[in-house]
Amino acid sequence: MAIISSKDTAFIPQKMKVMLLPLGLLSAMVILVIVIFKVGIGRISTQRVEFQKATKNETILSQKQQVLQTIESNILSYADTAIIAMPDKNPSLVALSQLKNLAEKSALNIGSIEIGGETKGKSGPSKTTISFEVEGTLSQVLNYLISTESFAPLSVIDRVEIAQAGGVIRASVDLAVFWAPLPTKLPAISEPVQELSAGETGLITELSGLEQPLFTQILPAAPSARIDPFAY
Amino acid sequence: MPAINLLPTDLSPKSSIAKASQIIKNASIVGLVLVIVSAVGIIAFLVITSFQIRNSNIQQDQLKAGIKSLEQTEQRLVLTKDRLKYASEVLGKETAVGAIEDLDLLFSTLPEEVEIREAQVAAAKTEISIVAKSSSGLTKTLASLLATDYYENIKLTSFAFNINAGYIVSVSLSK
Repeated sequence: MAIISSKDTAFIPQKMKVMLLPLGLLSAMVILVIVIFKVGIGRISTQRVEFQKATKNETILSQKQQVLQTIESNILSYADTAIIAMPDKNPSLVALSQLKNLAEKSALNIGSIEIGGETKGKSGPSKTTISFEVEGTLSQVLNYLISTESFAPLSVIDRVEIAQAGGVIRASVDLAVFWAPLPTKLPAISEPVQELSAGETGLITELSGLEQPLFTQILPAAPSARIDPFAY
Repeated sequence: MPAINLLPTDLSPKSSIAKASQIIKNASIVGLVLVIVSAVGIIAFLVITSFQIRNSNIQQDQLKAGIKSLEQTEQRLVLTKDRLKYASEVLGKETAVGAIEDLDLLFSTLPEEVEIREAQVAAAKTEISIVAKSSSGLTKTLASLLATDYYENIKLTSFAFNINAGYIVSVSLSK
């Protein structure tokens, strides 16, 4: 007959040994839960951020492509208009040509033309002043000065001195013209692009209404037969 | 035949312990099932979002290629916006044209016997010197000057009479 000792000298009491398996199972499960949730939730949040970023980039790119496709047909003429009104280089000669054309149309004489030094703008456009004199009747001269607002490149009359001598009005005018360097870099491809606002479109319309300078294009002459200098 | 328990009764666990053990075991099994379900859910989420991210990246690459082909349009748009910024700055500058328009209006109302001698026109301030051959002409001129709404301040800077020329009046007009 087996003798079973009922004496409980072990570390874990005999009666509690029945709890070992369930408690072990429970502990293992708790550890598993902690590991899975820690790793899983970390991965999920990383993936969610990545997904949100990808969706945002996709939306930006899609919007950008749409804006560019919409504006593609008009932007060339807009850019031309804008660059003629606000050129990248000193437009003194173009402005002078416009002043002369305008004077011819108004049957006026302009003279004593001087082009001043350049004043570089820190953040704004650079400026130079064209000084000239114009002669005619009072209303002709005043109308001429008013019409300087209607040509491109943009100009501003800073000061006018009018004097009368022998029935002829002579006006000494300081007219400022402006220019600014072109932007040197495009925004990153993933950066959003803003289409032209209503104000900008209105300004483009206003600028396109300005009298544009006439640029003459010299066409190459057609080849012709060389004349023999010794033929008599 | 009656069942005989040969084991000593003090070796069998107490019923409360056995019950707790059973509860823990059941809870563990339920927990395990939940963990497995959660793990499957997490994996499914990760797989689905991975596909979505991959698709989005493919879409982005296609869009980037499309935008690259529209690079000239983008350049022109950037250029136009840049020029317009400067243009609106220039259009916002003070110009003497407003004062000239006002002078034009003023001189068109002057009587014939009144002549302009000289004028200095700027955006903020205009100085005019006129000659009126008669006092009625002078009165009309001063009335026209007062009627102008372009200037807020009209200052009579000099007034003289010359028997040959007439009344010589200088006024300073400022906003």
